Formats: sequence, C-alpha cells, structure tokens
Amino acid sequence: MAKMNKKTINKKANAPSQGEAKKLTSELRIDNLVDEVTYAQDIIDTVREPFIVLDGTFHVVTANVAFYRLFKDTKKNTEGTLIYKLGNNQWNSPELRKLLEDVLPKKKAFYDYEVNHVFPSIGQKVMLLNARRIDHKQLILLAIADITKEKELELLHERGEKRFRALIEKSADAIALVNPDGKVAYASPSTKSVTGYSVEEFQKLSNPFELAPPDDRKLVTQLFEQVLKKPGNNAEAVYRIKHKNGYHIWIESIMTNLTSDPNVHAVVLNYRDVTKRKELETQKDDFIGIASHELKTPVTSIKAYTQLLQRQFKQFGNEKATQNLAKMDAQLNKLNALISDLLDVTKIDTGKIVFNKDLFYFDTLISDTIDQMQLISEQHKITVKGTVKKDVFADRERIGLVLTNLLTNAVKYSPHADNVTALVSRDGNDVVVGVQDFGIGIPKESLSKVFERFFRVKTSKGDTYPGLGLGLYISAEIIKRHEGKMWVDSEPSKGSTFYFSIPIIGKRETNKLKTEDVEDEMKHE
Amino acid sequence: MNKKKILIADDDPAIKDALRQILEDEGYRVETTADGSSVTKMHKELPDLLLLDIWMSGIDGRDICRELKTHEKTKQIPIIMVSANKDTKGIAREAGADDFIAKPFEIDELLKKVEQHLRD
Repeated sequence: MAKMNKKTINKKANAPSQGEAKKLTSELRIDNLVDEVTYAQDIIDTVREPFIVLDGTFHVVTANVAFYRLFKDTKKNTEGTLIYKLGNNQWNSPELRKLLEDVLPKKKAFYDYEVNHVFPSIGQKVMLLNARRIDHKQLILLAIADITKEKELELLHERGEKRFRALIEKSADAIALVNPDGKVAYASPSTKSVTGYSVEEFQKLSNPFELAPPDDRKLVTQLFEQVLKKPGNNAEAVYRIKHKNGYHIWIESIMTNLTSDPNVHAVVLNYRDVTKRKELETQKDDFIGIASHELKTPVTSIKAYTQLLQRQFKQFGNEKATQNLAKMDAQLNKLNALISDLLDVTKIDTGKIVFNKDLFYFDTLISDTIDQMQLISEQHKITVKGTVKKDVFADRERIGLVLTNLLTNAVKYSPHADNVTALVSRDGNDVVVGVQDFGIGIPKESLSKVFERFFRVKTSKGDTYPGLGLGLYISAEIIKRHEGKMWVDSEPSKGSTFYFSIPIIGKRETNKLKTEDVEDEMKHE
Repeated sequence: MNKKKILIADDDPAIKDALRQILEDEGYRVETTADGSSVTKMHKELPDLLLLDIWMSGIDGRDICRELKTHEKTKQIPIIMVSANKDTKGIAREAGADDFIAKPFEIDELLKKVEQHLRD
C-alpha cells in the first residue's frame, strides 16, 4: 500500500496545479492517516499478547483480538467502557488503580508489573502488565501478558528442586560431590552426623579420604582414581575413618563418576556409617571361630578314645568291634570336616585363610586321599586313571580337601552307581584332576550355581541331599587362591565330572597378614 | 629300662586322659599339666618331649615355646605343638617348635612323630 502511494505522489507531482496540489496534499494526509491506523491495528491484532488502549479517563478506546480471546469478551462490551467496569468490574483492583492513577502520571511507563488477580470470568491469573503513556494523544497503551502457566511451571520446577534438595539433605546417607582433584565441592548436612565434622570443616579437607587411616586411605584413594578414569565408572568400598571425636568408624561408600554429566561435573560420593554392621559381622565370625574350636575339642578326645578302643579290641582279637570302631572314626572325620568347613567359610569371607604351600608328590596325595575315601565308601569302587609324576608346590592338606570334597560329592550324588573315576593328567604347566561319577547329574540351569555358597542340588522330586552346601564353594576358593581353575561337565541322569587344575609350581604365598591378624586368627581357633 | 618322659600341656581333661592312656600303652612315662606357665618353671627332671597345646586358658602356647627354646637348659627338649588351628604348622614354625599336629589327630601319626623326635 505504501508503495502505491509513492507512485501516486510521483505521478501527480509531474504536473501539479496550485489548487490540485493543495487538494492532493490533504488527500494524501488522510490516506496516510488511514494507512497508519490500519497499520497499527494490523500490528495490534497480530500480536498474541492482549493489548488495550485507554483514553485519559481510562475508558477503552480499542482492544485487540487476543484481549477478547483471553477475557472472553466482545468489542461492543469493551470499547468506550471504563476499564474498571469491564467484565463485571473484574479489573477494579486496587493494584491496577494505583498503577494507572498514581504511577503513570509520575512516570511515562511501567514495565513487567506482576499482578496476581482473580478474574471472575477466567479465574486466578498471573499477569505481567506493561503500560506506556502517549501524552500527545492522551492515550495509554496497556499490554497484558498472561504468565499463569509459566508461573505454575516455575513453581513446579522450584518445588521439584526443593524436593530433590530435601531428599539429599534429609537423607541419613551423607552425600558429597568431589572434584577430580579431590576437593569436596558439596557436602550434605548428614556429613556431620556420620563423620562428626561440619560441612565447612569437611570441605576444607584436601580430599574426603583424608580421615581414613593410612592403609585404608591408600586403598580407597586407589579406588577413587580408578573411578576417575572414565565417566560412568563406579565402585563400592568399605573402609575406616577417624570420627571427629577420635574413634574409628566403618564407612561404606559408593563412588560414581559423573564428571561428564553437565548438571553434576563431579564424582558423587555416597556414604554411611556401617560400624554396627561390621561389629556384628566380627561378632559372628568370632562366634563361629570359638564355636568350632569348642566343638573340635570334644571331637579330638572322642576320636582319641575311639582309636584307643580300636587298638584295645584289636589286641583282644575282636574283629567286629574293631571294624565298627573304624567306621565310627570315619564318621568323626566327617564331623570334623563339617566343623572345619564352617570355619573355612568364615576365613574365606574375611580373607583370612592362610595357605601352607610345600613341595609334595602329587600322585601320592591322590592315592592317599582315594584310599581314605575308599575306606568309607563300600558301594563305590574308586579308580584312578593317569599320573602326574611330579612334585607340586601347593597346600597339600587343602588340595587334599578339594579332592575329598569332589569324591564325597561323586559318591553322594550317584546312589545307584558302583564306581567313581579320578582322572589325573598334566596339561603344560598345570595338573588337571577330574572326578567323574555316573549319578543324577546337574540340571543345566543350576550349573552356574554349583560353586556358590550354600548351593545344594535338588532332585526332580525336590529332594535334597545332606550337607551344608559349602564344599564346592570352599573348594573353588581354594583352587582360585592357587591360581587354578575349577569347572564341571554334567548331564542330568548320566552323571557329572568336576575338574580342577592348578599350576605345578604355584606362587609362593606372600604373607600379607600382620601380627594383629595372626592374633585374631589364634582367637578364632 | 629307662622310660622316656613326656609332658602334656593341655587344658582339656579328656584330651589329657586319652593321650596319657595312649602314650602309657606305648611304654612312655606321662605327666600332664593344665597350667601352661608351670612348664617354663620346671627345673629338676625335665621331660624328654613336650606336647604343647597352643590355645590354653590364659596363656599362649607360642610364648611358652619361645621361652623354652631360648633357655640353655630347655632348648634341647623337642616340642610338638598341638592345635585345632589349620595353620598349626605356620604357628609352630614361627614359635620355633620342632613339629606340630592338628587336632583331631590320628593316634598312629602322633605316635610316629613322638617316636621320631625322641630318637633324634
């Protein structure tokens, strides 16, 4: 439209007469004015924000489409009406009055004035008002932005953040954000209830592991460095720290590397006091240690009396009694093995198991162990296939225990068979021993569990076999500590073969135990 | 015939009794004590061999062993340590004992060890 006007001006200006020129000028003015108003109206109507124009006495001159849409009103009801009377006086608020009547006369404009007002027609709204005085036209432009939704979202967001903050701050677990250099960027209030140190004191530490005694510190620092290596890494550690009050407490902590998470940028350290639990564990271990020692004492004297009787009956030539006493002795060995298993499990769990490695002739261990087993297995004939013909460096007694466990299982789980085979061979630098039975076998789904603690095979009828479910677990741990391997082949109702392999020359045990641990050990026995 | 004398230091009466019978049957003279500390105070008539329990009430068998092994008069006495600990071997070695046997033991094995150390 503006373009056309320009053309008109140019054309007419080519040959203007005086009168024509005057008439043209006033026509042009009217044209321009109409254009201007239409132009303004176009803008006002297009703007999404509700908008009204008031005259000097606060009567509505015009309002835009968005205004009518928001306030569900009509042009007829609106134009020419006093703003306070609009929509059943819903604009008649002291706040608005103050703004229009007090603020505007002093200032030319006000911006983003937030009004929270209940409008009878549309309910409670949060509005952002912007107004400007246009003095030469005696008009006031009032723009009304409805920010109710944004406000609600903001509130929700704030509430969400408050909720998460409360979760972290009220949690009994202490939470810290640790920078890669070890500095504590954030510590939750529970820091105090766990460590005794205030948040400020805790943040002054060069790193959160400074409170741990040297040995523990070294361990947990290494772990922290491991976690630092890659975002997403996490680790769990149980270690001691010195409480502000001077005593040591046990801490269980979980570290998670969230350095690449833009919201966190740190390693999250989540920890709690587990002293009570550790004490109970120690009590349990001590108890098992003492109980097994106490149980072994009468087993020792009963076994001694049994063997004494055996010798005496033998002297008198009472074959039957001698044999029965030999059986009784074998049962005592079983009882002793059960007690030892209990103690071994505790030691394995606490990492206190000690191995006595020596050189011994492997084939002799095999034949000795099988001879002993044969004594108490009347039904099964145990045969050996293969030899090693080598001295092996290992804990003779415990490798013997593994073999005994495997043979005991082979006999136990093949009640309808009459033989068990021990397969002995060399494979490079390893000795490999397999114990094969022709019994009930193990269902496929249970194969991965047989080396777990307390696992016991169930038959298809749901029957279990006697035992603590510790034998294979202990065996596997013993073999693991010899840098060896243990595995099983099995087919239900055909039988199982359990294997283990250990290096012929095993590593010498580095005795990591300190005197204090040995003392502990003594108390357990 | 001059019978060899064996001292048993153990605080369990049944074990002492059974051991006494076994060893006496084999022709040894046996003395027993439950008081570990008395072992280090023997002066006249020292035993030819000591069967020493590691964990006795109130006293650590290892300390007794170490002490006996440092004294000129007693260091020649063979000491066999007896314990229910699977690491008896390591403990015995550490304390300077001549041998060890784990509880519960086989009589034959015990007698073999006793005989061997009395012969040496």
